[in-house]
This record gives sequence, C-alpha cells and structure tokens, in this order.
Amino acid sequence: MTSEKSAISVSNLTKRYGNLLAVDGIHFKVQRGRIFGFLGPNGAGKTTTIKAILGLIKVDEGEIEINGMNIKENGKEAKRSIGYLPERISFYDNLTALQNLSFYAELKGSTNEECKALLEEIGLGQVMNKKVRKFSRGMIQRLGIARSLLGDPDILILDEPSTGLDPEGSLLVKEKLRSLNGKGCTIFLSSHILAEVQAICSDVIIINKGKLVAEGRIEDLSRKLEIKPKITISLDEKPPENILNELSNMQGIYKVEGKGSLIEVTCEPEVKVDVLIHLKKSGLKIKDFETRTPSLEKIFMKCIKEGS
Amino acid sequence: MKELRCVAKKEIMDNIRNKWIIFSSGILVLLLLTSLFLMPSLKYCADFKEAISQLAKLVSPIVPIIALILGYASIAREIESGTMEALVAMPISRREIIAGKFLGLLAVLVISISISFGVSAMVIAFSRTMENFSYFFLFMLYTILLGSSFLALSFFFSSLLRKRSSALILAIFIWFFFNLIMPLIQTGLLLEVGMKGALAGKIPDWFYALDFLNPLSMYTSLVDMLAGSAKNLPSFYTPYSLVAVFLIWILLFFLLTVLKFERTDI
Ligand SMILES: Nc1ncnc2c1ncn2[C@@H]1O[C@H](COP(=O)(O)OP(=O)(O)OP(=O)(O)O)[C@@H](O)[C@H]1O
Ligand SMILES: [Mg+2]
Repeated sequence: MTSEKSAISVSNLTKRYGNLLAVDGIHFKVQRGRIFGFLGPNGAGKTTTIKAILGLIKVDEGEIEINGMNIKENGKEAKRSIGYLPERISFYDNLTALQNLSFYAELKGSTNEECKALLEEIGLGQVMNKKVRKFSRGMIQRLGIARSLLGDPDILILDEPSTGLDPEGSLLVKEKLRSLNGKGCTIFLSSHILAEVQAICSDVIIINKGKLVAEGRIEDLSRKLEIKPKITISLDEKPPENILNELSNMQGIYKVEGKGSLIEVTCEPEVKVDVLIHLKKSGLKIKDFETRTPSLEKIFMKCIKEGS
Repeated sequence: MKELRCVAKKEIMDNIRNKWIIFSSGILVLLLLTSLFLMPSLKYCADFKEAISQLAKLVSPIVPIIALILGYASIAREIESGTMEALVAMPISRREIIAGKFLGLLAVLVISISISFGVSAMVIAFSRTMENFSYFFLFMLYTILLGSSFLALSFFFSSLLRKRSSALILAIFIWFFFNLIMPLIQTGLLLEVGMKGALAGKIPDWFYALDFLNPLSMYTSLVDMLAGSAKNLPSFYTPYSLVAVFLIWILLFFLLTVLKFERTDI
C-alpha cells in the first residue's frame, strides 16, 4: 500500500445474472480528490458495478478496494468512508424524515444536529417531521442525498443523483458536490445527463454491455478520439485570404473556415490562444470569440459505437 | 454492538405500532379472559394449574400468528422496498443487521405477549380468586418460547424470498402446516406404525421424538407437564429437554438466516 492508493480500485470485476454477463472483467481506478462520471447506455452495468463496489452483491470474479481496503474482507471499515445514493432510493415509510435520517446517522457515527442541519441545507427543513410516506419523488431524492452526506464521507458514490430533482434541486446538488470536492472528497457518479457530467466531472469512465470502453480525463479522451475544440472568432471585417492560409499552416490547426466576417478554427486545445494572438498581430480587430470544448456527448457516442 | 442496538431499536419503533400486532394481542387477551370467565369448565376453576391446559389450546393458534405477522416479510419487505440496500451500504456487517432485526422483533413479540398475559392476570387478580399464579407466569414463558420459535422460522423464510406477496403465502402455509398438517401426519404415523404399542397402552418413544419437529406439540407437552396431566413419558422427554429443543430451534433458524443473508444479492 502506498500513500497514493486510489479511492476506489476495481480489478477484473465480473458479475453474471444467470446467463447474462452484466459486468465483464472491468478494471478501473478512481484517484482521490477527483470527480468521476460513470457513463454507459441503459443496461450497461453501471448500477451492477456500483453495487459490487459497496459489497451489495456477490461478484463472480474480481477484487474491489476502497482506500486500499478490500470490500469483502474489510467491508464494515471500508464502508465507513463511503456515502452512497442508490439508484432506487427508499426509506422507512412509517418513520419521519428526521427519524429515518437519525437512524442512519447513528450507524455512521454522526449526530442528530448534523441530521437537522443537512435537512435544512437540502431544503427539507420544513418537512423533517413528516412521515416519508407522504413525500414526493423529488423530496425522497433530496432525503437520499442528505443520507449520502451523513458523517462527512471521503468518497461519495451516487447512482443518478439528479433523477427527479427540480432545477433548483439539481443546482443545489451540483454546488454541494463541487464544494465537497473542494474539501477533498472523491466523487463517483453515474448519470445520463452528459451536460451535467461535463460541467462537474474531471474524468469519465464509459462502459457498454458490461465492458469498459473508455477511461480518462475528458480532455485526454477528446484528444485521443480526435474530437477537437472549435473556436469561432468574429471580426469587424472579412479577413484577407492570406491570413486564413497562414492560420491553416500553423502547428496544431486542423481546419480553418472563413464565413464572411466569422472564422471557424478547429485546433488542438493548446493553440487556441495562438490563433487569437496571430489574428491580433495581423492587425485584425476581434469583436468577439467563442470556444467550444468537444462535447461529452460526442465522446460518448463515439466510444459506444466503436465499442460495439 | 452499537450497530446491533441501533437496528434493533429501529425495528421495535417500526413494528410496535403495527395494527395487526395490536389487534392479535387484543384477541389473545379476549380469549384468555372470556374463557376464564365464561367457559363452564374454567368458570369455577380456582387453580391455574388446572386451567392452563385448556387455555393453551386457545393460545396456541394465536401466538404463532403474532410471530408470523412480525417475521414473515421482515427481510423480504426491506429487500423489495429498497431500504435493505441503504442499510447494507452503511458501516455495519450483514450479521449485525440480521441479529439486530431479530432481537428487535423478538422484543416486540415478548412485549406483546407479556402485555396480553399481564392484562389478563390483572383482570383475574382483581375479580376472582385463583391460586398458583406462578403457573401462569411459567405458562407465559412457554408461550414466549412458542412465539419465538415461530418468529425464527418465519424470519428464516423471509430471507429466502424477495417479495412480500410470496412471503405472505408462505407464512399462511407455515401456520397450516404446523397447526393442521403436522398433527395429522403424526397421528397417521401412529395409527399406521405404532398401533401395536398404542393398543398395548404404551405410545412408542419415536412418537414423542417426532414432537421435537413441531413447536406446537412441544408447547402442548410443556403445558401438560406443568399441569401435571402428562403421564408415562419417555425419559428424554422432560421440560428441560423440551425447553432446550425450543432454544435449538430458535438458534438454528436464526443461524440459517444469517448464512442465507450473507449470500444474498441486495
Ligand atoms: N437482479 C438482477 N437480476 C437479473 N439481471 C439483472 C439484475 N440486475 C441487473 N440485471 C441486468 O444486468 C444488466 C446491467 O444492469 P444495470 O442495472 O447494472 O444497468 P445500468 O447501467 O445501471 O442501467 P441504467 O442506465 O438503466 O440504470 C442489465 O441487462 C440488467 O437487465
Ligand atoms: Mg443503473
């Protein structure tokens, strides 16, 4: 064990349900302090992988370590540092929100005060003494998020955290995740909302039909898949041809297109600034510019197609 | 240990106000009292020692029902609803979850039987003279053993199933099996195989051993022994051995539940 052990390490994970190979020899590591998006089409095996990480299901093969602790041998200790939001969230219907949360808090070694504070923070302060039976879908989702945050976990594992949340709720969650991550919490979340993943995750892991198809930082993946960022520059006049030609000959630039007073440049991320500098030096007036990072959607679709 | 207590506490909170438990405990009180005050054979009976055999006949179908209501879906329901997933993801071992749930349910069972018997005892104590109240207390302890064995049994079966509806059907079957089918099999066997011995006035030993397979038979025997109405018993068939077998039953099904649950995908 080294000091830089991963927060979550999954090796050769395999899980069968009867004849169905739900997860097929997956390997990956989640480094500490990062936010990982775990992506894949419906039925890809995300929930199954997450359940295996938490020791909820018996796996056919493979080893899982949480902070260097094996989940099979040292499950109780390993789970102390994890906050978990299941895909299907449920609570004891007969008990109130606060009673429910206090029960889990006791198991996590945190206090009733912390429960109340969390309920306030997540927007359930008004209804904490109401029975969960009377909660709406989104309120249950919020309560589930509060439960996952009990006891300041170092690792948060969230299976589709924004399902059922209103825009305010999902914004709240996004901000909370960023601030927790700022304090060093590692986050591993599965989601189908790629824009959200792109907005908060540094890394992604993509699986399809139980197999790993891509893993890495979003920029690295887009580079590898040759999905390039594009910048659109608007000038106050139509640029001369020779400047467009000069741009095309620069290192790291793939495509230059002039559209009236607009120029669209497809290039490596590092040369975006050079393009602007070159235009400025050539005496052109830049009115505005917009850079578009490659969308995660493109990466996702490309990976899924190549994988199958 | 803290985890175990915490789960047990939640289980008690979640079950103690179960309306079916309250309802069947009420029935139990009603049966005990009406029989002691209205049944001709018990109305003038001044000694608990004489009354308990008859009372046991009334109690023995009801107490298993209370136990089955508590246990039948206790695991299946949590798996079906999804609360088990959140619980297993907490820093707690599966063994602790099962032990905590079982102890919590056991506490609810003991509370409901004790209250039913306690209320009945108080009403009797205030309204008529009965001797040998200590027999009533022993009678209650035996009843708790009976309930606990059914609780352990239904708890185990609830770990085999993932759906509440199938667990309910199984619970009904268990009740029928031990209340009606087992006694039929036992009598049938006795008539078929043990006729000679029975005719000679001595029931063969193996027939008594069969009782160990049915908590209700064990309960009846224990009560009969208490009332002094059991005669010519084999030497292995004593209150001590019966209580020991009860405890083995409870422990066995509890352990089977732990073994099963440790292998269950949540
Ligand atoms: N308990 C189970 N029994 C049998 N098959 C199952 C079980 N759970 C999941 N599966 C199967 O395993 C595969 C992976 O399911 P999983 O729930 O992991 O997908 P997912 O990636 O989470 O999908 P989604 O995006 O829809 O949540 C699916 O084909 C599913 O049908
Ligand atoms: Mg899923």
